[in-house]
Amino acid sequence: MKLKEFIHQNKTAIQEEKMSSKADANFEQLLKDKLHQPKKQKVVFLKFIAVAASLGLLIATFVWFNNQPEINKKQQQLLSNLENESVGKRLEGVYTFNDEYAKEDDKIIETLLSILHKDENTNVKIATIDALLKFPKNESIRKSFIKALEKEDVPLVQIKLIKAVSFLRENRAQKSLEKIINSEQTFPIVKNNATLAMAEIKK
Amino acid sequence: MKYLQKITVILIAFAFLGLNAQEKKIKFYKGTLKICSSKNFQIEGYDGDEVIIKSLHEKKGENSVYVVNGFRNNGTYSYSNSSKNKLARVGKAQSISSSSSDSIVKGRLVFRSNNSERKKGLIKLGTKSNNSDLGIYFTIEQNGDELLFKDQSQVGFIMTSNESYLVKIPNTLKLNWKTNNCKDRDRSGEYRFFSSKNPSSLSNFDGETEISSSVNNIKLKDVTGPVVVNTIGGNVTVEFEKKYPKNLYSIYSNNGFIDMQIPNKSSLMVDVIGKSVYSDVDFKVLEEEEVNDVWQKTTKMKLKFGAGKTKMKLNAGFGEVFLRKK
Repeated sequence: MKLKEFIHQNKTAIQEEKMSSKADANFEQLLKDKLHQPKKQKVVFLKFIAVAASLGLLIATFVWFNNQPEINKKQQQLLSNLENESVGKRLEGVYTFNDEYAKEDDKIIETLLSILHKDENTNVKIATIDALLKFPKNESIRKSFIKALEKEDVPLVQIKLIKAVSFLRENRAQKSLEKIINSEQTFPIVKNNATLAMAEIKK
Repeated sequence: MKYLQKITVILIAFAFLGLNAQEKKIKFYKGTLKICSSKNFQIEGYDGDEVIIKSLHEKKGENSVYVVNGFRNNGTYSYSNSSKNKLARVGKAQSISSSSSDSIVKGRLVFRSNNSERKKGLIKLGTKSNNSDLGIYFTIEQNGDELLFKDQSQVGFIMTSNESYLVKIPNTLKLNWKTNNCKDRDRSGEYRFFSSKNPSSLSNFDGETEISSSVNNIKLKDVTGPVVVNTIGGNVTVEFEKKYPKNLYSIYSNNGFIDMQIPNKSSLMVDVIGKSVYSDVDFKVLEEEEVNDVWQKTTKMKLKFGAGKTKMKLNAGFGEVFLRKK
């Protein structure tokens, strides 16, 4: 028998067939099950996420706590070396910054700048200028070089500063350079360097 | 005849030693020994608690002649008595070797002092310069944990000198040695150079060392560091015989050379900058570049020797660097 015929013959039977009264209860039960089951699963899932998240957070905090002192320790060590009374220790600090650290860390740069202006040892100052030259775009470093050039009177440091402003092509240093060139107290070798720097900057 | 000559030499040597046998001892073993003097010093470290100063020259006022040069507006000139060691000319200052019989230079006074007979049995009064009886012609001051040696004549005139001192210092001290005036501000166009045949030297020292010089040569022997040296035109020679570098070495020179022995035992990470670098040491060359140090071309290298533990920063600027086997 063909399907079409069968449908046609039983049309009324199919259309009029009513759901059994049992079906209602069955359906309700089914609905209940279907509706409640996912809810439970969702909660478990959420709980799992929560636990995972807090675990993750815990691990992250742990790692952070473990790493933070590491960075801090290195920075602290560097800063304490840079502020040490011993010239050897200060130099070691500057060299370590130069060789291993070399990040534009505000606190360290601030310390380096104060060394540039105040330190009494020539080697420490020269190494510091080398370290600061790693950040040619830093405006406060550039300004500090000009300021230091005006005040510095140790020939070796003067030469290093002259080379620094020339390397940075720092136009604002012209006045300080002129002062050095015209001063009778300047060492001739410093004068030569200043004259060369002036020519370089004006290029 | 030769035998006689030898005896004479020995006798003279004894007489000379006898003259210089006096020494000054100062109990000082904690803190810093600061030297601000252009005189010649041979400094030696030792394990003790006294600073011992011995003069290696003849006492003044006996056989020696001392010469005073007048102050000139365009700079003061001072002359070295040694005929062998001619100093480089730096700026206004000129250094010319001359003997005491040379009396051509204008404005120069020669004093001959011969009052030793009259001084016999008498003691010099006053607290100042009471070390001159020991042949020590610099001022010694102690302030807390700093012991200071400084030149007596600060301004006005300069004495020509062939003074030389042997100073023994405890290894527990820090040494801060400036071969010029310690006042950085004082740049009145006056440069003083004292020289003798031997360069000033430091040997056998384990404490922290800081040396600044303008043109004086510096010789270090068996100094373990930390060593911090800077000079404009002086040459720096570092030798090792019994010891090896254990702490940071930092040497800056603008145009002098750096000549350093590298003992087998050492473990070094050497950053070196200079016109050229010469060596016969088995270094591992980690980096090598020719840098334009603004207007001069310099060689820049990173060298490793052994495990590379001790940092060494050698910057000779225009000068050359020699690293040789021990």
